[in-house]
Amino acid sequence: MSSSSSSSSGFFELYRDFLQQTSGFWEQVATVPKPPDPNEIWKHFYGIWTEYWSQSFTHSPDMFQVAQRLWMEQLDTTSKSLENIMGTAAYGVAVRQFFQEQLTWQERAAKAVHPQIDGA
Amino acid sequence: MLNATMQAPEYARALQDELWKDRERWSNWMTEFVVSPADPPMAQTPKDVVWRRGKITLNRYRPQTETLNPLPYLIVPWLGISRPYILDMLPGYSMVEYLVQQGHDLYMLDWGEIAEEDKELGLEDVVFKILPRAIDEILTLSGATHINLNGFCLGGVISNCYLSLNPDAPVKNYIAIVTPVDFDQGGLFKVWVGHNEFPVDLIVEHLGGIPPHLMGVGFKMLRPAGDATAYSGLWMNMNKKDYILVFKAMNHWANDFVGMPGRFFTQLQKEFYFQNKLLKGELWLKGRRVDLQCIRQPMFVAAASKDHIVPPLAAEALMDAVSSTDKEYVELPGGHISVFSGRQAHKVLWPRLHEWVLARSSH
Repeated sequence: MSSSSSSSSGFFELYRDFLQQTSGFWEQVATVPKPPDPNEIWKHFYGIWTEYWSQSFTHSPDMFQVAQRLWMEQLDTTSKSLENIMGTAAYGVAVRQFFQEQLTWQERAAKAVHPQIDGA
Repeated sequence: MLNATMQAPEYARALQDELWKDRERWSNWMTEFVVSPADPPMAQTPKDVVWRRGKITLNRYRPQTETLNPLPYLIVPWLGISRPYILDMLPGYSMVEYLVQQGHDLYMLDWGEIAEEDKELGLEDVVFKILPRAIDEILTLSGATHINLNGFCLGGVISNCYLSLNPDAPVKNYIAIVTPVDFDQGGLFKVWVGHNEFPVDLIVEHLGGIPPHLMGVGFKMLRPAGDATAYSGLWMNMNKKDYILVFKAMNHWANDFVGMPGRFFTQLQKEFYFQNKLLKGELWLKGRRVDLQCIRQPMFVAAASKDHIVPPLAAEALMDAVSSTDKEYVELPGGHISVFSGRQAHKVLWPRLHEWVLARSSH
């Protein structure tokens, strides 16, 4: 039992470090003044992620249950990180610009295809 | 790869358990999603349409008890976005069924399938025409003099406006569940649409309102990993038949979006998300100021701790905005929907709500 509890303790320390790393990572991505290269972002994130999972499987005999729980928590963390990015003013501006440009483009296209729209 | 501290028998047992669960998972997946992929029928609690105006209907649920609570209970769901049948999801998982079985004479408005032809439907229509007439119909049918009014989400916003403009409304008790009041606390939606540069007029001009697919994109974006979480949860619980049943129902509803009328969306964006006029007391409808201070009914406000759509602070603001002296605020575990329609709702919200209403429902 003692080996189980000590391995669990190590497991949660590992998980805590992992959360700190991923949160810090997404925070950095969200706050850099210029958008970084998306390939580099995902490569870095994937590296943190795979290292964590490969280590986590060596810590607990309840690894299936723990892995499932951590997977859900990981999704939650990822979702929250993305929400933080989407909650920035810059993202709000991007949403507005998207609608503006998309609808303006649609209007132009519609008029080009159906010139009678202007005549109506 | 295994740690030296790990006991081989423990590992073997864990592996065996997991393999057994996997066998059940695959078997259930085959029967529930390949052989019989149909979603379970929802909204099964027996009801009758007792009033209709265009596509908007008022449903009365057939009593299932010998005696009825003397005050009829009206549910006003959100307008647009999705259909209210999640409130009557499945037998055993239905808030509607629960309230009927507790002896409430239950009514629910259904706004119908909002489409482009409804683009002129605005807050004035629902506050000055639809809701008062539905309440009149309930009073006529039941012979009661007052009702319990229960708004959900934007249905709560509609109810807030109605009660504010009608201090003598025949409403004895008021319940607001996940109802946004302080739109400055409106989470991601506030960031996305609560800005004067949001092209709401352009959207309404081109699309007539918010079409279902756009509504779906907006709500999915609120929880970017929502679908992955849902399907991961499904796989982990695929060995439980009742989990699959609820998942199918919930998933069906969660992807069954309806649109929002252009005029209503414009008001929501400009007057609420951008200017937060209702809370500031600056909202005017048909030349009348909507003053939340005019709400004096006993009031029960419920928010969900993990609500992405109406964060607790957005809902709690109603407590200080009204004149009611008998008022209660609860923040319950769960999300915007799961707080009233999840696997725990029948243990948490429903009994609490029923007891609160019952204690205040004598003539």
